Formats: sequence, structure tokens, C-alpha cells
Amino acid sequence: MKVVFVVQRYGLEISGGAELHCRWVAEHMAKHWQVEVWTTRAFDYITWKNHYPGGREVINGVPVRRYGVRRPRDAARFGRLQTRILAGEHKAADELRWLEEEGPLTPSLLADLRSGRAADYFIFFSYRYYHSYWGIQTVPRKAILVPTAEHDPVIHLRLFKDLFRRPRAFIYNSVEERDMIQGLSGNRSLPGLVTGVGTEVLAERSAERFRQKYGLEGDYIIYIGRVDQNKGCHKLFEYFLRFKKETGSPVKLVLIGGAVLPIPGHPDVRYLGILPEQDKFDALQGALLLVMPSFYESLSMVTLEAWALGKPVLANAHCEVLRGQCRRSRAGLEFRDYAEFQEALGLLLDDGRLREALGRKGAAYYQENYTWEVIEGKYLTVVNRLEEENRCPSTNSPRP
Amino acid sequence: MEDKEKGERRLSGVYKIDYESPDVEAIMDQVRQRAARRAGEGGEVGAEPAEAGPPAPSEAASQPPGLKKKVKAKVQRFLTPFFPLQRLLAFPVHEDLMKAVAQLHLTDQRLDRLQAKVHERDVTQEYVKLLHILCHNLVAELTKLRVEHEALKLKTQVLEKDFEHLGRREKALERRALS
Repeated sequence: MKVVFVVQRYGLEISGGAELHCRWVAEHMAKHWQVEVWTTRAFDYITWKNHYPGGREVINGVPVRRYGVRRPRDAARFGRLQTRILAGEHKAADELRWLEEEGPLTPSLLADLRSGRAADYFIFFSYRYYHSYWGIQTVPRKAILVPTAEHDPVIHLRLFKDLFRRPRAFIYNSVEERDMIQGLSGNRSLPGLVTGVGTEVLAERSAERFRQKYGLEGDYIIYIGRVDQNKGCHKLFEYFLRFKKETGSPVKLVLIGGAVLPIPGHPDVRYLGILPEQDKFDALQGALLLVMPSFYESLSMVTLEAWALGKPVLANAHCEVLRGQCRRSRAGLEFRDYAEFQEALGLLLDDGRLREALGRKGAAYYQENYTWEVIEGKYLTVVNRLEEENRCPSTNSPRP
Repeated sequence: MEDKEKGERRLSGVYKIDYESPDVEAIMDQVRQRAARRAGEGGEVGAEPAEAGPPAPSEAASQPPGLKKKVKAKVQRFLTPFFPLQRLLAFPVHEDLMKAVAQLHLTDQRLDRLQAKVHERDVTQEYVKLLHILCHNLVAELTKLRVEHEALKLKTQVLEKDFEHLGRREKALERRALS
């Protein structure tokens, strides 16, 4: 069976959520299917400028076909259009124009999709881009969508309501994502499986090595991810510094990841930038807990990594996905405002037994739902079900 | 280490936690209650409340009551244009916005469901109309067929009579020819 993964960007250097998710899944599913990736030549997700050479290449054993982006995105024009569309009444044609402005504009990829004979199934990652929308419209009977959707205002656009009724099946990241999409589009009759993505945890980790390398002493909590306002980091800084001031706690905050937001100049806030995987896992190993202040997440891989290592999580309760994951796993506490942040962080810092208990639950939850064997099995289940439907089209088997 | 033990001892008296199988919801309920109490008290939970003494005499209180009222009214009038700003600073606007957005989202969902129901009803109405037309057409066609059937029956009777007449004529002609 040949399966083509269609994604907006692809490469070892690309660490964005959906793109990394796609690469990991493609690499793992190559064991079961003949896998190919169709993507663009873009590296920058703001402009979609052609960066990689076109044509074919092989990345970690997976053949990749790159298509040129016809026109880079004009961020100012796109921003104006999006503001206008989200602000009030508009026509369906405006939404299609918004989609075209968003890009990545790859008509050659669509032309290849149109032949339809290239693969048995096409797995599209991220619902909101040009290639996904028109790609699914081109091969709806072979399309499986991994929406990677968040509570983003654009999800309420009418064109997506129609889009969510088109593919043969869905692979969701979380229960909350599934409920949101089904609530928006009423596509409950379409098969969909909550799957998510597995994580690869390095077996060899040393907190001591991390402390020595970066000269860190004492207890610390950790944030891993882009330091960005969209990720709620401004609130994290505000709450953490207030917590330090009011409680006098010696705990430190370690930040790992690219920074878009200015980091406060406080001796107990340590920004380490983007680190190699080994250092990241060493850092996580030594942390008391992971703090995840993001308002919008469709899965949060780093939360799964923390649970895989038996670390509890303190998450933003405004993000339904994080709240749901914490409740289901019983492995994390949450906060809505500073008062809850102070109380929950204070409790977690003071109560080692609770941290251990939550971490234990997190590790069990990870083993049960997010190891690669489980994830691969779920992808196979979805495709096998579609194959069964192809063999006997009249059968209306229940949702997986 | 000692601090941690102290902390755990302090918390074990405050929180009820099943360490074997921690119930996040129950813990969060307790966290929220304590946070709310802390916010209400405006200080450390568990700290003894400050003794409520008589209010300190203010400068305004020593003035005659009429003047106090006047000053208060003037200050209020002066501050009126700034009330929205005060509210904006005092209230958690972000939360209000989040709540409003969530409410709008729910309303949107409800509207979508209603729209789907309306669409379903419209479709049903169209079907009913089509069925009516179909029934009407069927009745008309059946009536036509019945009329045609009667006409054919009459035609058959006429033909039968013609046939009998021709038979009789044939026999009469035969008799005359052979005689």
C-alpha cells in the first residue's frame, strides 16, 4: 500500500508542531507502508519563500517530493485581509481569497494530486493551509486529515466547516480537538480516531550533567517551547516573578526554545535558547515539573515528553486540550489566574509525594496512549477500516 | 530538605490527597477554594485575621457632614469619565474576554445546530410537497387509465358484435353460393 503524507514544510531543521509530527509519523509508518512525503520548498512559515531545492530527496529513509511555492506570502496584505474577515460579515469568495493569501500556493502539488493514481491514501497535515483545502477537495475519497486544530478564530470560517465534511477519515490529536471539529461541522458520521503522536525519549539522561554544563544550582521548574506571547509566556513571567516576590521561594525558571518575547532580567529566570535533544532531556530530567502556560495547543508534545519522564505538569486551564489531558492522565494541575498559579505551584513545590504520584500517573498515561507502537497501531486501524469499506462499500461499520 | 518536610507536613493538614491515585479534579477544587479564600482575604491563607479596630478618623470625618457630602459628590463627578478606565484596570478583562468568546462559541454551536435542524425541516417540507404532487399525478394518471380502459372495453364489445355480424353474413353468403 502506498501512502503519501502532504504537509506544508518538511525537513530535519523544521521543529514546528505539525511538521515535526508529520515527519515522525511518516518515518514510523514507513515500516508498514510505502511512504512518500509531498511538501513545499519553503522553510519560513511566515513568507513560504522557496528555500530547499525542488524535486526529490530522501530524508531519514523517506522519499520526499518538493513543490515550488508560486508566490511568497505578503504578511501585511494577509494580516489586513484576516482582520477584515474575522471582524465582520464577508462573502465566501473573501474566505477563498484569504486561503490563497495564506498559502503556501503550490498548484503543481495539486496538479499531481489530481492524477489521483499516485497513492492509495493521502494523509494531509494541518487543515488551514491552501494545499490541504484544495488537496482534500481534489482527492476526497483518498484523503485522511490530521487537522492539528486549536481554538483559533479562523476555524470558524465557513470554508472549513465544509472542508471538515469532505475527507474519508480523521486522525485527531485529542478528544477536545475532535469535539471542537465535530461541534463546528457536524461530521460525526465520518470515522475519526483520537491518536496524537508518539514521542522519542532518550534513554540516557542525566540531570547532573545538565546542571554542570549550564552552571545551574537548586530546584527549578522548566518551560520548553517557543518563548512567545501566543504560548502564554508573558503570563508565565508575570506570575512566576510575582510568585517569587510574594512567597520568597528559591525556585528557578529554566526556559528552553527560540525566543520571540523579551526575557525578564531576573537571576532566577534562566533562558538557555534552543538546545540539542540530549541537553533538553537532561534538563527535563532534573526539573521538578514542566510548566505549560500556552492558551492554544492541539496536543503539546513536550507535555507528553514530561509525562514520559515521570514529571508532573502545571498547565494553563484556559487551554481545553491541556486541561483535558491533565484530567484524563491525572498527571498535572492547572491554573486560570495568578491566585491558582500561586496555590498550585506552591502545592507542587512543597509536596514531593504529590509530584511523584502525578509523575507516576503521567508515565502510565504515556505508556498506555503515546508510545509509537500504540500510535502506529491507530494509524493502521484507520487505514484498514477504509480498506474494508472499499472492499464492501455498503457496510456501515461503527466508528473506530 | 527540612524545609520540604515542613512544607509537606503543612500541606498534609490542608489538602486531602490520595497519593496512590491522585484525583486531579478534587485537588483542583481544593486549590481553587484556597485561591478564592486567599483572594478574599487579600493575604496569606491560614494567617490570623487582623483585628478589626474602629476606623481611623479621617480628615473628612472631622468636617461637618454637609461639606463631606459635597466633596464626595464633586470627586465622584470629576472621576466619572475615568470610570471605564478604572474598571478596565480593576477587572480581569482578559478573563471576561475569554468567557465572552467561549459564550459566543457556544452560541455559534447552538446556532449551527438550529440551522441544521431548520435545513432538515426544509428538506422534509420539500419532500412532502413532492409527495403531494406525486400523489396528485398518480390519481390523474389512474383516472385517465380507467377512462381508457372503459373506452377499450366498449371498442371490444363493438368489435365482437361486428365479428358476429360478419360471421352471420359469411354463413349466409356461403349458403347462397353453394345452393
